[in-house]
Amino acid sequence: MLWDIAVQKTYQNRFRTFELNIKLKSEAKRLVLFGPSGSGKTQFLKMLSGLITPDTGHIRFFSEEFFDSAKGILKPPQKRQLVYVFQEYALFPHLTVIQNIGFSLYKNWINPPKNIYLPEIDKWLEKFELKPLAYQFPHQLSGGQSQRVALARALVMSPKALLLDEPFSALDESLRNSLRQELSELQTMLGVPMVLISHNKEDVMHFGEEIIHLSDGKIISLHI
Amino acid sequence: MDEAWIALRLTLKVAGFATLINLIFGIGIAYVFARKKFWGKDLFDAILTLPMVMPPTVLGYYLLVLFGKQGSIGHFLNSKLGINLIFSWQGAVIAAAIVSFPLVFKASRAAFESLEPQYEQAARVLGVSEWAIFFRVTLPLAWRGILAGVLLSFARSSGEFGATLMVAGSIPGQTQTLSIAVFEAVQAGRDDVANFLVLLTSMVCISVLLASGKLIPGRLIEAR
Repeated sequence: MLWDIAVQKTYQNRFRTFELNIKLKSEAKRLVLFGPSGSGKTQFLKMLSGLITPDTGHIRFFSEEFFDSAKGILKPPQKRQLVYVFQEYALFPHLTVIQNIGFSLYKNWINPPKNIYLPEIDKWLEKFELKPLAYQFPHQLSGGQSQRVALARALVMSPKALLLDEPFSALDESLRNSLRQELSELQTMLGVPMVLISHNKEDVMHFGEEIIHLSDGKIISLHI
Repeated sequence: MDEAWIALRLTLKVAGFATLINLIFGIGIAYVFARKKFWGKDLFDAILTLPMVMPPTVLGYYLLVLFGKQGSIGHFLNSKLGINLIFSWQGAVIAAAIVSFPLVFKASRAAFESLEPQYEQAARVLGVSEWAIFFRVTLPLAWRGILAGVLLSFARSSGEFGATLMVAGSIPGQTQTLSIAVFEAVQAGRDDVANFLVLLTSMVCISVLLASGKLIPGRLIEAR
């Protein structure tokens, strides 16, 4: 089983209570979480990556245990090798494009040097046509360029899965279509499982192999 | 005028070491306060901020009580390690460090708290350890805010008078810093020495302000 998930978490403040309760088994390599904002999509995706810990339940991926409240298992995000790609990309603003991409290849206390050269970085610079931008800083990039850098930064560490939070939302219509196509080809080429969040019907139709419709923290329908 | 240059050198030495101490402890403690939840946090914050609002003479008295030969810390240092901080330049360093600690602590805490959490989260999913994230992401992004506090702390340390006089006294060449030397010169009616010392002190202060102006606006990084 690719994904075997049952998570529950209650968010509470003075004004309201929100309960996220999702049970899901899936073999889909292209899973799309669809639903209005505030339905718990991002929280759910962050639970898969380990950035948020559910109150109870379990998360298994290829029968590897990431989280199990009953057995007291909790793997930190660093040990999961699932890369979460943020909606706003979260490129490190103090590092150049090439340093951003090489970030995960350096595990010690020092960032990759400015003149870093590694074949795996070069491969992704080439693939995403980022070579001319290698020494630029994130604030000098357009939305589409930032998106590619974020993807390259994720893929360079050969993740076991990609978790994409609204990957196209910051892009205009034409860019959106081409990136959707590109991402689809990439998935086919690499075979890496992807879980993607969207509230756009077209993204869902073009990309999804299995679609999970969320509302108010619950699954309201599944389309396969 | 030799004594003036000696006083200047001593002042820079005392302020330099005091700033170094605050650099390590101020930033470290600020990080813990910005990221962790623990019991009595507000109370500890208030205690750590006290030196900013308490009269320096009161602080000096506390330090005398603690570090004097009969004091709990002073007794330990003296009997076990043979160190006596009272009436020494090291004592002046401790006094200056404590008086200026809140400046580094407050600025660093604010800098850490204003950071978008997504950068640290992005680093986490890329497999980099928490310690490495602190040095590679958190510190570089918060650095500008911290530096402002560090420079103010240096300026405050070099101008320290009350607590230093109580703890370290006014021994020419050993503990007589610029601000204490000015006081002594005026008391002794040596106006020419006082004039020169005041001029020297003003120039040091202007240099620090110019340096901070150069360092702080610096390269504009879009830290969204």
